[in-house]
Amino acid sequence: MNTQTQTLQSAPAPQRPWRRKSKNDVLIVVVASIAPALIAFTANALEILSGFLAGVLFIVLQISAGAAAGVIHRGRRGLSDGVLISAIGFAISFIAIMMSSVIWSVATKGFEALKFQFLIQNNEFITPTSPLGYGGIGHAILGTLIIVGIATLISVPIGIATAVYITEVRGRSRVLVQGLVQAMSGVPSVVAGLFIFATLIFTNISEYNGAMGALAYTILMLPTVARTAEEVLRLVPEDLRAAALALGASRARVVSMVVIPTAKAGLITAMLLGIARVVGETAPLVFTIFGSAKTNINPVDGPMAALPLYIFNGVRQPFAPEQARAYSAALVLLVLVIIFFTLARVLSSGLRKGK
Amino acid sequence: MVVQPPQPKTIPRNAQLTKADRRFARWMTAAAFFSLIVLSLILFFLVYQSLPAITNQGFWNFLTTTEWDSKSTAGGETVEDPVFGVAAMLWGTILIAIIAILIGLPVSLGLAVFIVFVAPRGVAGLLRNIIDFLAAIPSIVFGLWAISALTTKGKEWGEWLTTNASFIPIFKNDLGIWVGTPLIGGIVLAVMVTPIITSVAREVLSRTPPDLVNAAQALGGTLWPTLRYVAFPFAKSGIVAATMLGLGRALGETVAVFYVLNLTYGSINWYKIVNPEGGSIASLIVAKFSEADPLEISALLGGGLVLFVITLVVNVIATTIARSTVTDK
Repeated sequence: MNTQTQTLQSAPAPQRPWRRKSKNDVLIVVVASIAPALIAFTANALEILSGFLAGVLFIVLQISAGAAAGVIHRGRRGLSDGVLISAIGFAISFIAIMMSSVIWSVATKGFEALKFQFLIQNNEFITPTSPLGYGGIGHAILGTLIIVGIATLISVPIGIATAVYITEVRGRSRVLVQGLVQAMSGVPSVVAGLFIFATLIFTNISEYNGAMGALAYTILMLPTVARTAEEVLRLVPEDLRAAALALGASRARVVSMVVIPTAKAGLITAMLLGIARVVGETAPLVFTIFGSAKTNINPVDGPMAALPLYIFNGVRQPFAPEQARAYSAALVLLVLVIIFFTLARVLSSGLRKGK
Repeated sequence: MVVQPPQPKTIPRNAQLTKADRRFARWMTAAAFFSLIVLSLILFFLVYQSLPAITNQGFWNFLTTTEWDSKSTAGGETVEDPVFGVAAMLWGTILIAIIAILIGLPVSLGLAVFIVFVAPRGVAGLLRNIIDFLAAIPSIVFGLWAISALTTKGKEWGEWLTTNASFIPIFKNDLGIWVGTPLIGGIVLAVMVTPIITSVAREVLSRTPPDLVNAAQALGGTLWPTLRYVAFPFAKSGIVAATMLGLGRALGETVAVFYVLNLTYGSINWYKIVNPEGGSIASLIVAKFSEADPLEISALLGGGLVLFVITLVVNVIATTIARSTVTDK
């Protein structure tokens, strides 16, 4: 009799998660999330504790408060949950603070030099100390667009063909190819630039020019395009392929007239994600395009400017105007990335809804 | 990665190929092997162009020497032979990558667990988009943030750690300067790799079979037991692979840490993470490149080769682990 009661007691009590939360429960959660911060803040404000110690106290208090709330809620099993939720809260706050700081630091400093003339002029007669009313990054924006454009022209067809090989041709070595694409996506950007330098520039086959930068970008862009395109092509219903084949279409026709048109929006997404991946890469350009203050729109004739390289060199100058220009250029670059990324997202969500 | 819907009726691979089909397949195959060609060319040309420096220094010396001095301009003529070794930079690279993973991995796991198991659906979708966007922020932006905002804070943190915790050897500081420490570089990389690790970890965790999760909850499992006994065992190798991907990114990163690292040669800073000594191979290459003579450029290409091989190995391990998960299912 006695033993039976014990077994019954050790069984978990019914939780009834569907019942309404009582006012007490809500109160516990609110107190547990506010009280520690309040205590630590007061201790700091009254100068009992320094900022750091208050921070440490806050972390300790918050985790114990989470644990206490968990125990009150769910008994002993709530302990680890309470601690876990507090820790997750810290993780989220950490990344939120860091990331807002990243965007904030570029956004605030970036507005100083940002004028219309800054977007269209070049830097030909500008020294690092020239006032902010003169000169701009028009040449660098053009350079970035040209270099990224060439890289897109090369990497998108090859990337889509790689995806077609994996999903449509289903060749024997598709697992190997997937692995290679994965390995290629891990190539550090600095190595991509060095490779182009070692192959074409160090050997005097080519001079420093925009096309070299585009080739380095291609290496970084191709894996992103290939992998996204592969995922997109997998979404094309098998029935469509079967129907086209049954109508007598060749494999090439099935791909070019059925599969790719169906996946069009997704493939554009793949392209945009590839562009967003490379548009801000700096390291490949250091070894390939050399940078220029003049506007040069010929990718095979002489040094070229590009936004990331402009920022990279500008911020190393010890002069305030040049640094302000670099931050504004970074803001422009960030906006470019946001545009490409948002376009990609809008297109791909449209694709999902279309299904 | 998109979860593939079940496709029971796949068309046989070799079902009656015509001549045109074969030609088409050959073209696609050629394009697919472009990545193999590029990877082999990278390896070949980096080896080929770095041979002059590596034979000059000796392969083993190149890897184990901590000095980096071209010595070519002393008094207008070479007075001593140049010394090139990547040991200090190599360890610097690994040190900041380790710091990055130690900070970034717990944060990423917390975020991923929150998105998959805790957050309401709308919040989760929003967070997913934000995380993916953060992964797309250019590294140069992180570099600017590192010099303009993080260095000031990192200096305070480092100083505090030394004053209050220098009984732990890693927080010792010999120079009284807290700018340019590996800790700051590590934090930049941690913030950079967190979105990358998070999005893979989230993907893997969200593939935990819902039946298992429901069963665990029906047995009275709250959040932690569900994670500990169901989700994490299921996602273990995926999370390891995500970490390796983040590690690969951290090892190869250049401009984000270039401004905040203080490159020191001659000795290796093994563990003092708040001492302003360290470096990374990628930063070394960018720092020395513009003023290097051909032999030094060849040595820098050797550094690039070391970096390429390390990241390649890390990525291949990641891919292998990730693939073993898929076949386990």
